[in-house]
Amino acid sequence: MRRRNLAFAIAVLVLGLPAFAQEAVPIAVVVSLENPIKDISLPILRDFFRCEKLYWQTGKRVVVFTRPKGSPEHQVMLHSLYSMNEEDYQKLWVMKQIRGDVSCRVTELPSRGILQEGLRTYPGAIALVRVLEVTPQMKIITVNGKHVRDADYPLQ
Amino acid sequence: MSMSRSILVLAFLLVPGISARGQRPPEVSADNGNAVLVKKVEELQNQVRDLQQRLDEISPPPPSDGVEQPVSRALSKPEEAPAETNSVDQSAPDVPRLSVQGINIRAFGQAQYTADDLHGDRPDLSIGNLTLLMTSELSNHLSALAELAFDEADYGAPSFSVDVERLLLQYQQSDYFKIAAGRYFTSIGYYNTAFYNADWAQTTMRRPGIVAFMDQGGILPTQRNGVTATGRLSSSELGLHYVAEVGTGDLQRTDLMGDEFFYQARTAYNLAMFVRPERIRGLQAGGSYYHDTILPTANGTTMAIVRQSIYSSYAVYTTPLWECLNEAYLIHHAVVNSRTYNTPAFYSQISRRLTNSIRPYFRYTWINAADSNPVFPDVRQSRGPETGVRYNFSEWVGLKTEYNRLDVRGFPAINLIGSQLVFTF
Repeated sequence: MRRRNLAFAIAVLVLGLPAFAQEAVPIAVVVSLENPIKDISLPILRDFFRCEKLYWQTGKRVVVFTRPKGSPEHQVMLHSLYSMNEEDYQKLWVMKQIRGDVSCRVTELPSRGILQEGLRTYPGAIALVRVLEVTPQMKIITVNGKHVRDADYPLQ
Repeated sequence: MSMSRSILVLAFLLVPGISARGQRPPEVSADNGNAVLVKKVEELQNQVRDLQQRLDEISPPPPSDGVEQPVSRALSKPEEAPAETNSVDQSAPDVPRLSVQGINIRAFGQAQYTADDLHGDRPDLSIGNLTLLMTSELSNHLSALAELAFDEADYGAPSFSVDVERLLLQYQQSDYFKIAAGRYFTSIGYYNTAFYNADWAQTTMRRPGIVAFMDQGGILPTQRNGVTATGRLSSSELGLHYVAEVGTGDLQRTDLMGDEFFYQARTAYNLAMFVRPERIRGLQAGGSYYHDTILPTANGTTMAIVRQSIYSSYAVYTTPLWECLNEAYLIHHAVVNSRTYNTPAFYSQISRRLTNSIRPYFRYTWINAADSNPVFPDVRQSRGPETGVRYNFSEWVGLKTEYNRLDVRGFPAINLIGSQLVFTF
């Protein structure tokens, strides 16, 4: 009986581990401290990340930063902003080059430090960052009026 | 016994791994803690010193004015960016591209096998064309684009021709205004400026007959030299855009039998508008109006003066899963001091991705030109289906296999089968 209980407990642990590992990481949308914006609509956020809109209303050029493939930020970006898989995402960028959208920029940055430096350097920068990595040099903005802590936050 | 031992071993392996996630550093007293911290700080200082020495050894000497370069140099703005040399540009994510002196180069290649009733027992295995697309961001607002196509002559002739398909200097002032000057693809309808010259980009083997290039039997002026302006018309969710073009350039057309037609052309104007509604992602609908005057010539003699107007409308829906393209055209030719001709045409194409690699497709094309039309006398009424499958080995390599039937009024039907390997690098 004890053996059976032990085997059951282990089975639960083993089966539960992947779910534990894939637990959703809250991802915040951050901008430069100089940017006066406090909220952004999901459609405009999509347009920024798809380079279909290149300028803020203030006239500042949008510069999009993202984290490398495999990161939670990248996964949320593909799912919530592009609605496509990695292969289609790669193809999209080639299609943009074919269509002459040359001045489009979505730059992958390898570390939080460089990302922070990017936000400081570019007043029009916008990025996705996991909440635990947000620093005082980054300004969190709401999406559709929802804060990253809210249950119905659009970037899930 | 061995069973319980295995379970215990498994448990021992699992438990430390799990508990490590919730581990906290062992608690230490204040004095001990300070001592440990001081030791750690000393170690770190030593490491920093070592790293600084190594960095000094491998770094170039500082500039002569002694001003240190800021860390942010790595993220310098485009206008301040030093020219890149043999480095992968990071402006697009993880897309393999060669960047030489700030130029992004992408190549599109294809090899194809076709057999059709026109050429009987002479099937063709050709490498098709090689296209080089070069783009460069010159400043925050200015960019350049050049597209060169190396085309193999039809049916195995051992020669290539080089065409400048596009050559543009682009200035983007805002989301509402972008202007480009040079050789451009006309924004007539949808297909011409959605896939350009890249066979890799399009699902099917060929462009629809109505938007085929003029040297492949097409009837639309797909390229001109001049100025094109585009942008958003409003920031509403409708996503209303405009395109305005003014261009010139004589035209040359080759029909399916290889006969050539020449047209002098006067200034052409094109105005297009389209919407991309935010609420229906993937939908694009629009129309265009194109006007120019062309003079069909034979042996240097002008045969007629023809005022040409081309009306187009389209509705397309493209997502990673679906591709549904529908375009209709009306080409109006008014021969000066003579009669007018109307040539309606349409095509519908549908495809759906079945798996990540397989995408079957179907397209039907219909063109109805008068037999006596002096501008393209060979077209007549042409119609037929195309059906095939595209198999993607990866996102960069695809193989298309297709069957195509073309019925031209007054001629026997032409059947074509073929396979096309397309790739980009």
